[in-house]
Amino acid sequence: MHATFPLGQIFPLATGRANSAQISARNRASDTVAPGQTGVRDENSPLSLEALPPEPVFVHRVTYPLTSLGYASPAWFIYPGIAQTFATQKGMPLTTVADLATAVDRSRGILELKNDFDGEGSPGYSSVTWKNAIGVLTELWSRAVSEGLGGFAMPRISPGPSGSIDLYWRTEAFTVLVNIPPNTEGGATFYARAAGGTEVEGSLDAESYRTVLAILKTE
Amino acid sequence: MIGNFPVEEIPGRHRVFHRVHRAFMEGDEILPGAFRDSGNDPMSVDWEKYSTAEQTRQRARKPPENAVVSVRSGVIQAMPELKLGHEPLSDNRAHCRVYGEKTAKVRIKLVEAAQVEIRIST
Repeated sequence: MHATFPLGQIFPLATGRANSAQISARNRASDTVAPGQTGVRDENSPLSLEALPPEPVFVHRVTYPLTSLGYASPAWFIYPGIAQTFATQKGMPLTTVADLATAVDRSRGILELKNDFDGEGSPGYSSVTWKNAIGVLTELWSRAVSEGLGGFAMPRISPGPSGSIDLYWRTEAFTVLVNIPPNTEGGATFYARAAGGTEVEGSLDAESYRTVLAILKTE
Repeated sequence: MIGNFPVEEIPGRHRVFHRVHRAFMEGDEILPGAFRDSGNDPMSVDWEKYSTAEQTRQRARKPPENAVVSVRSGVIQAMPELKLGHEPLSDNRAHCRVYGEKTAKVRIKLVEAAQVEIRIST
C-alpha cells in the first residue's frame, strides 16, 4: 500500500542553513506522489542531479517509496553544509554523518558511466537507480540511528551488473552486498555474512533491514 | 564441436581469465560488479589452456582500461548456481561461458575466489 506523502524539493541555501520552519513550509508546498508512482522525478525535473550544486550546502528531505518494501520510507539527504546541525539534532557523532555525505557525494561518478562504457555493451547507470540506491543507504542509516545502533561503516557505492548499483561492505567482521536493480525493476536484494558464520540472502524488506543492520554492527 | 574446435572438459584445477573494466576495480580490489553477464549473453571467460591473461586483455575493445582476474574453474564448478561451459569461438579457442544468475551471493563468492592477474594500466 502506498501512502500519499510530500516529496521534498531541493533548496540551495546561500548560507548553508535553513530553519525547520522554512523546510516544513517548502515541503508543504511541494508535490505529492500518487499511489503506484515512485518518488523520483524524471531527469528534467527540479530533482534532477544536474540541478544539484557541485558543493551541496543544503538539506533535502525527500521520501522515497521503495517499491520493493511496499511502503514509503523516509530518507534524509545530508550534505556537508548542514551536517553539524543534523548531527546535533540526532545526537550522532559528526564523523558518521559526514561519512554518509561523503559516500553519497563520491558515488555520483557512477552516473558518468554511459551505455557501453566498458566496450562490452553494459548499460549505463540512471539517476533513478542512483537515487534508489542512496534511498536504501539512508534508510539503513536512519534505522541504525532510530534503533540506537549508531552509525556504521560506509559502503562502497559501486556499479553493479546490468545498470544496477551495489552497496558493498567488506571488513574482517562481515561482508554485505546490497544490489539495487536498474530503475524500478523489482526490489533490492542482498547477501550478508558475518565472520562467525551467519549467512543470509534474499530480498530487502522490512524484516531483512534488521538482519542487515545486525550484521553491519558485527565487530 | 563448435566452429573448428572441439568442446572439452575443463579440469577444476585450471584457471579461467576474466576481463574487468576499470569501473569495477578499486585499486587492486575487485568489486562485485565485475562478475556479470554480457548483455543477453552469459559471462565470458577464457580458459588458461588456450589463452594467457594478456591475450584475454587484448581482446577488449580498449585493453588499457581493463584488468584481468583469474578464478579456478573448480570454484565455479562447485557453485550449484553456476555452470561453466567451454564454448570456443572461431577466433578464440579458450572462450567459455559461465551460466547462471549472478546473485549477490554468487558475486561475493567469485570476488573472494578471484586473483588479479593484470592490473589496470596507469
